[in-house]
Amino acid sequence: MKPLLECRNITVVYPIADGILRLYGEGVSFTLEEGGFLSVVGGSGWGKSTLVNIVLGLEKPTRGIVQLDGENVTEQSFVKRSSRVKTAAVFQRPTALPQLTVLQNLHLALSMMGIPKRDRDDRTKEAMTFFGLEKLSRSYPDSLSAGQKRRVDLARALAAKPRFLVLDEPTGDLDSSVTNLVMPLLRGLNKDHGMTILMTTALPRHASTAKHQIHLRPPIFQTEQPIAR
Amino acid sequence: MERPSWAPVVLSGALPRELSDLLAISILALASLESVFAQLQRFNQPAWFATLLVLVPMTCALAALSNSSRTQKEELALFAYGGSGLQIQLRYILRGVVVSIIGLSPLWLRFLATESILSTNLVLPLGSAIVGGLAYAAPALKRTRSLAFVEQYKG
Repeated sequence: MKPLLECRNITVVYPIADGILRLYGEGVSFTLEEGGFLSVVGGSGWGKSTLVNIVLGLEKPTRGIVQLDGENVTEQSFVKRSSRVKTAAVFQRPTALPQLTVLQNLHLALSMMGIPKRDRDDRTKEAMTFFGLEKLSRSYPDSLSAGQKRRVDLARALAAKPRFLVLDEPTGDLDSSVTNLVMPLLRGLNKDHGMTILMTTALPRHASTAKHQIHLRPPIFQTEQPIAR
Repeated sequence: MERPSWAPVVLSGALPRELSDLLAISILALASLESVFAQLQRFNQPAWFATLLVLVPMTCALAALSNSSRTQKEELALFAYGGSGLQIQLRYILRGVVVSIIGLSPLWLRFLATESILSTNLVLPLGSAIVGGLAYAAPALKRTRSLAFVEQYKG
């Protein structure tokens, strides 16, 4: 299988008080094949969300290379990457336009991707039904609970039917009944539709949904060396 | 064939919907009305244009700034939906221009009633509206370019 995503020796260094914080030790490397499903497992503050941002093009690594569909995209933005490989993302923090209803948000996201109106109607209806959002279609995002917002994000991402789906802790804020829906859904999308999925999680039982897993190393704190006199 | 489109992201945000936008429109409309009723003779162009050039962008920038927590959510969502920084800037520029044009409507109406459509006096408020749009987009430009912006996606 051809690799869709390849990350090589990704390292991120943050300056902090009295030193630096180095994520991923000497560097994290992995390959995600077309049609693959990879879980990135790590504890809180280990850089799972940062890795998602790097994969999407929202952040740049201090060192390392990101290749998408065989091209070095390390310096490319999310928009450019997405125009090359249709990508949808679900972030850890819910993302929706506060002045639009749930239904309008889904329509806007799909129209931005250039999906024709008749398809948009079908896809939004299907996604909202699956995630039990029909009664919330006219609600505004700020009036929803954390779990409901997460379901809206998932519905928006899946309605787009992307080639590459990136999820940052997708089951955070969800109760167990919805989590029990989401994990088999992801497995089905990957297995039956060949969707390539990258997911981060802190929970090993969710990570096992994926075909492959990588485990991040804890960050390293390095204090600044005192200046020799 | 699905092709990403510019129109939805830019046009869906063109209409001012926020309270701060309505306040900005009200301030500009009051200033325009005052200007219309106070000017019995022809406008003193340089002074009048200078006033517009200060009033319009400042009011628009204040409207955008006073609503930054909501607009930041808007920007985060638009990036997540696949929008680009340029598209989002255009969205705000357009909204700022619309706020300015509606706010300055007493002036437009006066011009349409009294002057030729090609009058230079008409060009001046139009220029002010464009400057208003740029000023409306400025806080978002600063916000989305900051390193802290993408941190908002993290929990």
